[in-house]
Amino acid sequence: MILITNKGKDILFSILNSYSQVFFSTSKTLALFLVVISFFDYGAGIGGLLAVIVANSFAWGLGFNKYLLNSGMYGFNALLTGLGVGLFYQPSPEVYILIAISALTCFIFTVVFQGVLGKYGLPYLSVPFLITIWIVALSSNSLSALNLSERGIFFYNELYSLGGNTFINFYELLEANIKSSFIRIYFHSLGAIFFQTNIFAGIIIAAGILIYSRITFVLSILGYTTAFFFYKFAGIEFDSLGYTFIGFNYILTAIALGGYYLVPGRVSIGWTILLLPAVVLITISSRQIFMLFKISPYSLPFNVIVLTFLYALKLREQRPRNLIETPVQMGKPETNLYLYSRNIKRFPAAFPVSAILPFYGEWTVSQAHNGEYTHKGAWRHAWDFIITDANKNQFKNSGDLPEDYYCFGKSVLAPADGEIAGVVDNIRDNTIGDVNTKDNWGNTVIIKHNDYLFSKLSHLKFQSVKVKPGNKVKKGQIIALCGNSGRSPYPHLHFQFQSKPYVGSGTIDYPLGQFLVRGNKGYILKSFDYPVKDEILANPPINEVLEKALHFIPGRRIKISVETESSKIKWKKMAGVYHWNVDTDIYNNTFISCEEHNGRAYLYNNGDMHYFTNFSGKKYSPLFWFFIMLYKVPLGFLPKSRIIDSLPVNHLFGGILKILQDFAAPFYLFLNADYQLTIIDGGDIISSGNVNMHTQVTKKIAGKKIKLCVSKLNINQQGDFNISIETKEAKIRMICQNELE
Amino acid sequence: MEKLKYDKPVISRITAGVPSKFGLPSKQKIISEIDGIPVSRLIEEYGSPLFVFSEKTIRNTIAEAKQAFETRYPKVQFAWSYKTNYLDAICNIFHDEGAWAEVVSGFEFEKALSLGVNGSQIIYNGPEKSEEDLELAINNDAYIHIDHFDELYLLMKITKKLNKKARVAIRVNMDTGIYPMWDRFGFNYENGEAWNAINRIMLAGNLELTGLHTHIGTYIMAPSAYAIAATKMANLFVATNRKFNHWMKYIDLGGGFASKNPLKGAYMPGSETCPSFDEYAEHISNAIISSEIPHENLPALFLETGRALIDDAGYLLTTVLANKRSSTGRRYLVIDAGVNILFTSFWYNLGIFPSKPVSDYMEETTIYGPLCMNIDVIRDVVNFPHVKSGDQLVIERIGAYNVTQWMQFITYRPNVILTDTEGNIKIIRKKESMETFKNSENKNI
Repeated sequence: MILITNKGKDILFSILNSYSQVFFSTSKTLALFLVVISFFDYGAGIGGLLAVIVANSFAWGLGFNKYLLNSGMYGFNALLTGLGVGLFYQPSPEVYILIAISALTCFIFTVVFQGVLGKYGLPYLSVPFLITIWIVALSSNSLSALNLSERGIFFYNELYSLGGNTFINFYELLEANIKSSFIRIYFHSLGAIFFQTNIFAGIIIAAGILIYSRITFVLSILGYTTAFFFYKFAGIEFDSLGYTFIGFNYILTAIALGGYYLVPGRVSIGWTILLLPAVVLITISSRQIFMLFKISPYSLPFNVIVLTFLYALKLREQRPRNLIETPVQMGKPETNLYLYSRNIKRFPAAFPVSAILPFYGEWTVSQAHNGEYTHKGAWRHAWDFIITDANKNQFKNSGDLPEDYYCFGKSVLAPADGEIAGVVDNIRDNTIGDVNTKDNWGNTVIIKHNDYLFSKLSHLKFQSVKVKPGNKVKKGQIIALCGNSGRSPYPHLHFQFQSKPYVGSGTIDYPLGQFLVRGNKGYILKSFDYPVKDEILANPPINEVLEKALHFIPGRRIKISVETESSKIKWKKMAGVYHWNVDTDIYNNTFISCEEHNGRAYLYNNGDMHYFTNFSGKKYSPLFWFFIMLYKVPLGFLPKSRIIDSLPVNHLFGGILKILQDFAAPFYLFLNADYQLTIIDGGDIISSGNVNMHTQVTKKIAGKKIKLCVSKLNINQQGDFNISIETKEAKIRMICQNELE
Repeated sequence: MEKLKYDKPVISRITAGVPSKFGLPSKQKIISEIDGIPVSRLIEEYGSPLFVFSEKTIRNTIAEAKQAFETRYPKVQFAWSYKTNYLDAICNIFHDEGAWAEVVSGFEFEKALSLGVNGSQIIYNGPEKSEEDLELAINNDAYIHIDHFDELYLLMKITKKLNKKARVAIRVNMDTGIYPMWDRFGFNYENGEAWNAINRIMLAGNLELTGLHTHIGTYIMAPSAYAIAATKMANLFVATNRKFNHWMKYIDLGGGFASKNPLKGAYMPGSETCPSFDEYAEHISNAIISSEIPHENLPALFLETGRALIDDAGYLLTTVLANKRSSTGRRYLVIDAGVNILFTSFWYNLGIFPSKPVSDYMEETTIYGPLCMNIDVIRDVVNFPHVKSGDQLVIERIGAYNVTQWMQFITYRPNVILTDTEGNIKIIRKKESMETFKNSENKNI
């Protein structure tokens, strides 16, 4: 029974998602709205539905990806084709056969473009639809068995057939009250995406979008408004916009670039505004060409601009700080924004190589990125390191000899796994104060980490390099000693990332994977960050207790006993015994799932750090609180060290506040949820004791702090968690024990 | 004009003028204050004699030592050697700086626990461990360093009884090329006893072999000796993995780093000959890193340095009681601190200095303590300026061993104070009083 219902659900979802996918969504509500308006013209409605079913059936029957099928990725282009063809001809069996054939053609184009564009990491948007609809449109003159549709001309007749007089009166009312051509054309344009000529369809679509995503709604208006003003500005006749249904190009471009394929934000929106005039120009110019063939360019301008711009962004050499391509598509701009805006670093896609500091012990940054001495121009993304003593001196005795300097002769380590790409080892160390500008980099080791990421360590000690080009090195392996060769007036270690394997190559902006910064009280652990001048840094040693406890291997089963103390029923209901399983999905995402609550907490562990990346399920469940409390936990650290992160606000806020935030989100986040983890008792250097940590989650509304909860975590040698959480409303005690070894 | 100080007339070698073959006339060093606090104020407030420890010096010294090792080796852990100085306040400073506790008796073990040290951060050394002591150590998950086979058998018996695993290491003694070779503690490396012990432990069910320990001697002036020790330890470490597929967690090289105090009989001053932490660290780190141990399995390096970390931070303030002349005309000076509270004066030519400017005239002097015992000699012979009774002197570098090996004899042991990093003075051990004795004695037999 369950199997059958699951299958039914799959089929239904794959159809519905094909509708909402036109707006890059998998919202079922939006889909229902769209299905309804597609049937305003029943011929087109049936055509669309038929096309979706045909395309999805082929996708299923030929064994294409189930996940993509379910999320409507194979159906939405066929849907558009079906709608377009269905609208063009009078309903007849011949037309539906034509639609089925076009849907199949479109599906095959979909698969082909998925393959071709996918290689470049690009979406296929509505390119398959474009090609199919042009094929049909260009051959329409010869298809004499089919009659051109006369609907649309007699729109009131259709309305009447749908809903009688009430419908017509309501429509009249709308028509009478929306006088502004600005608003009318907006609704027309939205409706035009589903080949609807009436304003009513546009209004329903707008409502559907608003319910699904506030950001998408804001973007649709923004895209439209920008284009509208550009038309005015350039003196282009605007009515033609409404007439040819081309307005939707601007709306779709704004949604795609402003919030879907890029993480929404001020910069992505700024770029959208900059690009929209180009879309307008392509629209107008392409129309001139397509007019020759008596066909419409449809969504060509949208496809051209989005694809070219996304492709251009991928060719950036420097790691972007803004205009970030959505790492893993969460399917909704709000979710993408809350998840990625402030902690893009926590996703492996962002930084494939996690580098450590290339030395033992505590060193000081004497020159950081954009330094005042030599880290300028093309070489600005580099660091210089020295060792200083308690009195901030970098040498003992008189400092006249290189040996007086604490860093001189100390081991230099490989910052990450790699292959030695270049070695210079025969330049003598300078006397103190002198510089060698001829061989300015001095003795140097260059390590290749991947095709575009090399690290360079320079000013090494004369004949101290212990590796040869071609050698494979492991992270942390000793490769040389710190020296004073090249343009180095006193001993220090120069460290930079570059994209080429040459000694003189310019630097690239790439962060260090993980490091501790010494503060007044203990250390702060930073990940994928940039050390700054005068910071004292060290590598965190890996703690075996944490390494073991936070290693969630698929198949691990955890038993959770929860006790709660609260007056509220929602908390009381959390008490009990639960079972969690660790599993992976087909995309290699590891998650913990709760058998009782059906929740999922997605996680990621890069060997240095455990991250929870996302959560789905009930908020009043132990897994949710486990997700919050262990949001980011380092596997290595020193006692008294701290880690700071921010939690995605959609998990911690709800109601009107969140809806308001959704509207404002691309511009300003007034809701914040700060996460702080403090290591109280770090086990120890040989990991023989239990680990004790405190977490604190602080919600902030426009800067005003509200303490949400504090918790104490204890992790023992067996990898069991003992967590006590205290919120304003409840006290929760969770004991998580491994069930299987 | 201030009245000039009166100097007694003496006959002495002329040292003024051009440098002789002995060099320029030496300038007498004066220690007038400790961490900015005048010696006279300290004695006035806390009495004489008086032990003074400088928190600043302690923290600076450990920072220097940590830096020397941690910038050369990836995992370093210091363990504070309790026997060197187990005053609570001193131990706490070391624990605050991240050091573990290294204890050698049940008493020291209890002391560490009472200071809040986690049992799993205590290293238990020493040849004498009773059954009760061992039970306490096992129940607290401490690291027990086994000294001999009888202890090993006892441990096997106790762990069976308690049905609990014990974390153990063995103490290894070896020839590192220094004289005298310390072979009375632990198992010998060269004759295969250490390897034998490792085999027995690995085959015993309830013992987890966590590390190897050695303590090659004391006041070791040759850092290369540590390199030999480290290499031999690394060999055992690798051999254990080869045979049992077991990587131990640490190598403990004990203590024994020299302090700057000159040993009796040494020709050069200690401050010239004592190797720096950097030199010890360089030899030890290089030896372990360049051993056969793969870099991802490098053990933690444990160090139980005591003397070198605390000696410099301790001062003994004392007051001159009398000046005398011997039968041969040698000048004698009697001060109020005796060998009963200055145990290290048996080993070192301790540095003893006036606390205020004195005359330039120096004379060979013997300095005696106040005890009515012939052995109470603080310095046999020292070129010392003239001081008068009531003048205050400072004996430096007495931080190690004195406040643990001292004995109460004919009078009370004095106050011990600490000058903290903010310049405050704290009594960390109160001067004894009649109460001290009354409380623990019983006259009604």
